[in-house]
Amino acid sequence: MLPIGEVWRAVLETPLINLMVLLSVLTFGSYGIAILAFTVLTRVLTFPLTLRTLRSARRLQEMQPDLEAIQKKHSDPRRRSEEQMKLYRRKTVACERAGVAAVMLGTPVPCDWQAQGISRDELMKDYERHLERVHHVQLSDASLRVARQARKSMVAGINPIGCIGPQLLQMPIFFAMYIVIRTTLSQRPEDVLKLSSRLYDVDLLQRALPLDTEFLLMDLSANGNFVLVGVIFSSMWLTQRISSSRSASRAGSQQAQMNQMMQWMLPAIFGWFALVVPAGLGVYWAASTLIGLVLQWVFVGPGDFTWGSLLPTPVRVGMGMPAKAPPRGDGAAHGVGDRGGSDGAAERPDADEADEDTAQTEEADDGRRGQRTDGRRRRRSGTRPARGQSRTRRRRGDSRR
Amino acid sequence: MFHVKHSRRPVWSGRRSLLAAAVLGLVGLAAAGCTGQLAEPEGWAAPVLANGLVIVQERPGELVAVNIGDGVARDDRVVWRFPEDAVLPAGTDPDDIDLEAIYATPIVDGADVYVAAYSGDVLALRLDVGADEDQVRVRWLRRLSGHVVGTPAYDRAAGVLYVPTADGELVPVGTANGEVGEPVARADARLWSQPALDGSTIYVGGLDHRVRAIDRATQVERWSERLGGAVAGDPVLDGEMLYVGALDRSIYALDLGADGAERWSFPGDGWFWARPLLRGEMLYAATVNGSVYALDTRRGEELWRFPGADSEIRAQPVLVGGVLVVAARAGSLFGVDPATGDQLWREDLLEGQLLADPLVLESAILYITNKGELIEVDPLSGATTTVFARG
Repeated sequence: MLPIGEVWRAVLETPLINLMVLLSVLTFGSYGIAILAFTVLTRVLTFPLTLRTLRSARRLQEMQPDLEAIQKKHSDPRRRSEEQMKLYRRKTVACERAGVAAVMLGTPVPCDWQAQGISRDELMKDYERHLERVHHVQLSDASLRVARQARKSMVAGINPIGCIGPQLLQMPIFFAMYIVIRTTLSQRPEDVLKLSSRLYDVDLLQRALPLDTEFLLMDLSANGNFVLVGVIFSSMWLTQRISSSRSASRAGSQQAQMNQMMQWMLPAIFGWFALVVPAGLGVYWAASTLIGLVLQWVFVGPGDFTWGSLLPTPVRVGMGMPAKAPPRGDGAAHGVGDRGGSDGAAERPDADEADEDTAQTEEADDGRRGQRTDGRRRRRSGTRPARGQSRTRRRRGDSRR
Repeated sequence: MFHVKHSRRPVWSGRRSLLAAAVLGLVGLAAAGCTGQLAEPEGWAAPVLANGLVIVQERPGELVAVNIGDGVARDDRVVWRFPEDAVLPAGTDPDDIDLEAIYATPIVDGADVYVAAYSGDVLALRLDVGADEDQVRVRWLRRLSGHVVGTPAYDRAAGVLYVPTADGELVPVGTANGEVGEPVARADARLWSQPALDGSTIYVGGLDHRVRAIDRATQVERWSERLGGAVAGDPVLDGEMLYVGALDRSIYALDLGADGAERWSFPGDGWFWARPLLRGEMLYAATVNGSVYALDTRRGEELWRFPGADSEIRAQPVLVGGVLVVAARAGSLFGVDPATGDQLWREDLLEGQLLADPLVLESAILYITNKGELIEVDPLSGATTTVFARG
């Protein structure tokens, strides 16, 4: 059996080393351009997966009002999860958050479970088959806590595995690129000597060394500079800002707090990375983030983000813009009533209506109309919907008309 | 309408936040661990013989003088260490001396030893310190701007060292007092190979694929020949011919009488980094792919090939006692018949890498490993003896 290190080198590192050297040759000896070309190449290859994720994100954005309503309606986490599960089934979105790996990358990624129209049991079976086939995990095995956690997450409407395809693909590449850049651009004679054994037996590759380490006034083999840090920080911050705007929950909720933390922490961490790793890796990450940002902007949209929100209040006022930027997670982009912003009062009744509608739907689905399931007295306003038909649907139908 | 109660929790509260913070912390730790694994240069300076002492790099950037004379107990062989036992010039802070690693072979001229280190430091050591034989005196110490990997060329008559640097400069340094002159050559890439000197010309190869001929008197470039690959190894000068190994897996014979025109080139199975060995009309050249070629210097034809080494060959092959001895990086030593290329013996070291050129004594060969172990090899049998091992 091959040691894991050998497999890693043979499958990922060595091919990447040769690919980077080849790209460097094809880009007239510029390793910096080779890095950019590689970034575009990986983005193109993972584009179908990315596109699916982004489309899912768009759908989640569209169903955000309903999710908000469920969160407001149910204080009982179990009940809330069940309702979210029903909603996901209806909307063909199986998960809201991609779990820890997505959090690491700073992009809360909703995803497509491709389970439109199937029942919850069928969904669970499908998921179990996925676990067994892909991850060799038997849910029936009580000792496998991971699997149990996965199942629990699934019941709660979170699929920690199925939503992180682009991220799972990017992480090994990111770490491999770190090694590749160190190996190919190393100034240490011993490393250059060893590099000979990593290159394929192709003249074009063998005679390509040494590679040019200069790019945009940077030494790609040395630690990154503050310009690179600035590019990475700002692009990641903007990506976080946009992605969290489409999925953020109520202001002050745990999710909103986490998004807010991630919006600053992740750019700061990756900015720090850029200072302590070779600049070539920083160039790769900056380019990858910028491309991701563009894709997100094009396919999902900026959410509630406006460029004006970056300006200080006095400047905005001076330019005739609203004094206060729309608060995060206020639903302005989702059509949900505001709770803290200046425009919230006008939309508040609508939000309450949505809450009530969800409750009505829930009751109809459960066949327990009139019973209080969360132990709280339910306030009502407006007209009750017709039996078996949620007012949410009717209202949406009205709005379409 | 019903009222929704919002709880304002601090940003760091909640299990998710804690989990995220923990993950971020782990990522930070992993990154810090990765960055901490950057390897330091080790150096591959060859052992040299000076005043009856063998001077070797014991640890990266540290030298030791070893007395290998008969009757000296192994534990008593260390005569001095540098910089530990060095007598420094007045005003020099011992803490300022950090050579990092030594790749260049020290140059010996009587009791003087000139050392060029990876840090860019060039220094002159004087071995005879009167009664204080366990000390070494530093005559002068200069720091150049670039790393030094290639061995300097020494013009004994003029008292000048020509030091190739990773900045692509060939810097003259006077041996009398360490005076640093203006660079005599500038390349577009690192200079890692030792320059070759003849009467009026300096020949230097660079990683920019070029070999340059510099007029020593006027410091004007006479000609420049572009090869198929970078030149990292030392060239060999033989009258009107210059033999240069390159990283395009070829070795070149350049005609110096025709402004460096290529007389012939020979394609091998790997980079030619080790300094070739010239014996009569035979050129023994080794590749980093582990092969040794015997070439006819007149036409560049292969006479035989020894494919036996299973790792890179960086150390120069040597011919002692009628046996061609070859050392491979992984610690394998081979005795090869220089006429046929047949393997006569093989010896594998238990540990350590063999990258430095050997020191040839009358009937033995000394290799230094990257672990600071000095190995004596019998060329006839391949038997090895550890002469010195660092503590």
